[in-house]
Amino acid sequence: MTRMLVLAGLMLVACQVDAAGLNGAEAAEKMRQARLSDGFEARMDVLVTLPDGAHPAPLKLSVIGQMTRERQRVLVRGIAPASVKDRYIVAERVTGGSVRAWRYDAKLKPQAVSPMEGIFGSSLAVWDFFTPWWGWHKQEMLGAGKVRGHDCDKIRSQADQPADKVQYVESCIDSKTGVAFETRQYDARHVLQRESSVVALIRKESGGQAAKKSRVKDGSGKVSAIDVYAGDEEYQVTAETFAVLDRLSADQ
Amino acid sequence: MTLLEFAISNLRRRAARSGLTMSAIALGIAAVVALTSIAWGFEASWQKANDARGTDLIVTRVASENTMPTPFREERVRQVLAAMPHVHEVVGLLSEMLTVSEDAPPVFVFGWVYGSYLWDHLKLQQGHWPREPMEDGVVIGSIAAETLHKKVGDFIEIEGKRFAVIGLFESSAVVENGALIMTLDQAQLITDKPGKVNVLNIKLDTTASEAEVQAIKERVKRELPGYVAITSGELVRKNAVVRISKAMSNATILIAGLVGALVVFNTMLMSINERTKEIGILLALGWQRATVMKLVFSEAVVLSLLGGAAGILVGIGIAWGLEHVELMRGKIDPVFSVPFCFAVLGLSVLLGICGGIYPALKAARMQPSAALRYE
Repeated sequence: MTRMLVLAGLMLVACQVDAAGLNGAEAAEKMRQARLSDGFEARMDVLVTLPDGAHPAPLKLSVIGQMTRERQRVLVRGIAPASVKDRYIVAERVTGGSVRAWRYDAKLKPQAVSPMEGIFGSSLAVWDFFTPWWGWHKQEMLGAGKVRGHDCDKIRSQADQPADKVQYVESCIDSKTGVAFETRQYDARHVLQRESSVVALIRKESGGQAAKKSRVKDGSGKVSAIDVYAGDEEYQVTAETFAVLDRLSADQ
Repeated sequence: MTLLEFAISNLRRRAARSGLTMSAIALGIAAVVALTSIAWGFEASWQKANDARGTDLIVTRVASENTMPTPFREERVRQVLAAMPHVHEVVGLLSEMLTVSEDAPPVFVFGWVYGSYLWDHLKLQQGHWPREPMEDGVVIGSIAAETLHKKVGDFIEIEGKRFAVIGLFESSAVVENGALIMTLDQAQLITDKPGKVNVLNIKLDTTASEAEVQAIKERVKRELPGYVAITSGELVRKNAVVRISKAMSNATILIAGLVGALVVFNTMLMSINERTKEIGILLALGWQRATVMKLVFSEAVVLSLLGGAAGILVGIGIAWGLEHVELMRGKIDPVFSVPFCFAVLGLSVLLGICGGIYPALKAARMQPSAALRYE
């Protein structure tokens, strides 16, 4: 009987793999690897729809990121409209996996903000750029899925820290291309905090794929339609790029 | 009455059906004409832009297949290229499709090296060219000026930076007429791509032979791994948008061909069935079977020829209309030529012949005795 249970357990484990034959941890590692970059830049139009259907002025943002094994940091710059022009949000992932963020502009000294806060009033958060859930220890494959005609594998990532706002994330991924077609973030009470889905893909120079158009909805019902209209996969991060972050780190 | 007159009179006897068949053929041919002319025009327009600039070779990243190749740091590559024999000038170009007005579709924004040969082929209509590498000014193509409702002295905000419109130009290439051009230094600044370009344009001296151009291409492959030196035509043919539009055009030709042939087939078959007795009488009167076949083929060919001619006119009209739609202005430049129109007319006639084969054979094989008894 015990032997049968062990065998059944092994069979169950064998089923917990994605289409590429990877288990949860391996699939999550693939997703992390797909995001590694010495430097990238993406410029995007963000059209926000408020829960009452109103549209604030469309945002134009520039996002510069560096995602290496040693250092992960992101700089968001507002391009338009005038209310966000040359306003910045800088964020980094620190040891232990948490993300911290600051907001600043030419006049304003850097102020700490929540990385979960919507960027310039949108439902897009800097926390999402770091996809920290791929670094969490508990990763569980949930089976096959389909999003907008794309076959993908469902995976649940469980937060390491019980106090974190987002306690688990369910995604539908293609670990071969590193694309998460759909991502849902839940708190401890299983309330949906934010969901994002990829609407259109673009082929990267490296051969992989990335989201060209996507949609992010937060818990309040605010929706952001994001269209990446330009980018640079090999952005040259200089000493100046994250100088503010370096100063903040030195101060602490 | 000649056979052709007899065939035309048969078609006129069933005017509504003949009209509908011709309309169906015309629509298919119109789609072929419009899509093919736009696909060819898209390719020709980009090639014309490169050729007009006087560029002999273009150096880009190997994997670049997008409308504008992926940007790269130019300094080292430019130095290697400049040291090659017959290379007269190496200049970078940066380009992006950007939204510069909420009321207008995105436009191409080009960044060209200040004072380089790239500017020479443009005709300045008003204002002036940039006077220094970092001038906060753009020159605007004639179509872009109309689309964006801008004139010299106005301002345009591009990627959060305000630029004065300092000049208005006209180019022989429609993609340039629909674009804004600034200095490369400014383009690199606003797109946050310092030191980067999409392509390096090489102008060779006049003594370079074909073999020497080929030798430069080989040398680039050897000395600059990851980069390729190609002609403007090769670059355009590699372009994903050109390849997609050509594939769409080919698919349309195939579908329109099948539909056209089926429409003619159906019309002619119905006509033969309705005229069984008439064909029986013709055969009984001594008509050769070959003459009956010629009659059916003539009717099919006349139908498809008239449908094809109407389709070409409608297709030209559709392409012309699309060229003037605000969203497409300055981006497409349909290409029509007399050989192209004749080729399409030939395709149309071929459809008629294909669709008429079976009905013609059926008519020719009729036994007069059986046909005369047909009710």
